Amino acid sequence: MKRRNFIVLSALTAAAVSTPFLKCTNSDPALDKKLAIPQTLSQLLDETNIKDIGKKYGALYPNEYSLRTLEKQLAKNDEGKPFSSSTPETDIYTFLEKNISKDFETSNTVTLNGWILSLTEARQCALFSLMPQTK
Amino acid sequence: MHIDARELNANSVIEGDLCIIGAGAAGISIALEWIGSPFKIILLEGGGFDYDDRVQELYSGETTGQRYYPLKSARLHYFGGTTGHWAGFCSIFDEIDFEKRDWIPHSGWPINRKDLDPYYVRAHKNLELGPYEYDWKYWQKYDAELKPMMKDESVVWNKIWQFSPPTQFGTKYRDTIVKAKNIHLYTYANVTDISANENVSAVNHVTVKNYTGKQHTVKAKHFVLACCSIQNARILLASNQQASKGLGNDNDNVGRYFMEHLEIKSGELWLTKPDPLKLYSLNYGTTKARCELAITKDQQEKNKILNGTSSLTPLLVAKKMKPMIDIWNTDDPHKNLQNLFSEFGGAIEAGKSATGDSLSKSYELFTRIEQAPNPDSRVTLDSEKDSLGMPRGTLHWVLTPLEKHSIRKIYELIGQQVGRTGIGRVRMMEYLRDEQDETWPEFTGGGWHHMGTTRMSDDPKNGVVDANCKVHGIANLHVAGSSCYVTAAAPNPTLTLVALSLRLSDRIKMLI
Repeated sequence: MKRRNFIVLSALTAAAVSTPFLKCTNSDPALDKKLAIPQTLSQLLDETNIKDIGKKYGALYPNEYSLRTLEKQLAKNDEGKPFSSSTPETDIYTFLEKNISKDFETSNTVTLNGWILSLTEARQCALFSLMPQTK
Repeated sequence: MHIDARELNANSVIEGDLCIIGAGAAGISIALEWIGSPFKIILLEGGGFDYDDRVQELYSGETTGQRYYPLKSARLHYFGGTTGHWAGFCSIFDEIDFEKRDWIPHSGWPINRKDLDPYYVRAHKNLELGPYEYDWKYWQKYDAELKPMMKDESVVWNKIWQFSPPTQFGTKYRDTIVKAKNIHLYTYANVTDISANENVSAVNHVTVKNYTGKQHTVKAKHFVLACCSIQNARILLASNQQASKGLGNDNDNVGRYFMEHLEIKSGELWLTKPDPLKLYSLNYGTTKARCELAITKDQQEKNKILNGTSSLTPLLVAKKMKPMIDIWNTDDPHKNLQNLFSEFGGAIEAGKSATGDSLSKSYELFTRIEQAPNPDSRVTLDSEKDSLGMPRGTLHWVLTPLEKHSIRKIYELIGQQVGRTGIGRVRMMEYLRDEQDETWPEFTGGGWHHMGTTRMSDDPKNGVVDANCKVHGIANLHVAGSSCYVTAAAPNPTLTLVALSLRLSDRIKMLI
């Protein structure tokens, strides 16, 4: 894959967060950018595949399929307090990876396009598919 | 000694102590056990020492139900049987395979793994396998590079397969059998009928024929039917002069519960870092042991699934291989074998030309799984007869939704465990993704592993043979081979059928 492409895309996403294109949502684009990259999966799949998985997730769980909802589900730390865009990227990644591992351990998984994914990373894909630059 | 039954005077009467019908892995293994004993052993083989198409043709038959290989080429009909072209894959059944599992109808053997363990050890010798060691840690002592993907084996564990050279019984044991004074091997001696006494409580004699038109009679104290699953059932069903439904078939079990291993590509493993996964790799001809991914007993119980395993092949190589069901599709076993080698050749070339880490980044996951015992999956007699006047066998192979549910669940579990380790992700093939879809793709195939048809049970209503492989109600008729299996487990059947045959041999020694 195209992890390289994916990283470039992530950088573009970061550059774009300052622009006010997210109408009618209360989501935090800078935070979403940190949340929306499934670390392991992005080493295996390109952005098109990840977006496609995200859309599949959205079709399965339409009630969750919004930036705000997905952000809320993903950006809660152990105490239930939400992360913010100022939370260091590495802290968020570490936290998400821990959740992903826990998902696999507890069979909290979902099968999308045949991939057996943790619920957390499936939501990351969904969030990624909703981000304006990737739609 | 060897006698060609074509050369005997017509209507000869042959007498001995033990008559073994069929000289494949089961029959030869039993015969070897009796060398040097004071007993006269008659070993009957339908073919000769080499392939003969007129003999092979006797195995032709129609198949219905699930797509299957042509019956004529699915087994070999000469001395040594199908070991003449087997691949040598061997592993032992798990304890759970013998148990009654309430989610699998008709499961549960009247014996358990401990009953077979000492015979597995002996069978290892016949099949020229390594030490009776099925823990991967044993093999790691000799090769530190054999590392498991998952150290926690509470859900997915690493089941060892060992590899026979492969031992071709026809080559390996021919001289031993022929030189043994008390073993009387008759080639071109096809059993076409088993005749019982008046009240059908014991076998009196069997009739053998060959294509010269000659017919002979064989009498013995004990008889062992050691043909393959299809032929064992066919002979019993066709022996219907005294018992209208066939010998041993008072309860309509003969021929039923035919089982195969479903062998089918099922998914892909993608790794974030290339890894040759040596513990799971097979270098044919040099690998002594390798692992397949297996599901623990607890998880089988919890998820109510069949026992199956998953083997790994570099995806680049696997993608070059057509499904076996599309390769092995003619009546000619030699042509099929050439097709197979040709496919292997292409795949090996793909492997050799792979660059960098491309071979060790992604793997095909290939399932080998038991099918649920199913009375509707069965061997019956056709109205058409073969050239010896015997009704042809027909096969109706039937699967159930449990097989597909089990494969899907196996990959969910493997996918979860792979995800947990963080080494990569697993992707299921398309045909497994819709939980409501119970159909099978065109490339669904078997492993040429014929099992069931004379299943074992303590209760004559539920089986053909008892726990000692004696046919219920017939004092001196025994069955050897995988036709006695109650369930199929995941491993290739040869090791277990040899073990079971050795156990039967010991039993007959107590009776004779």
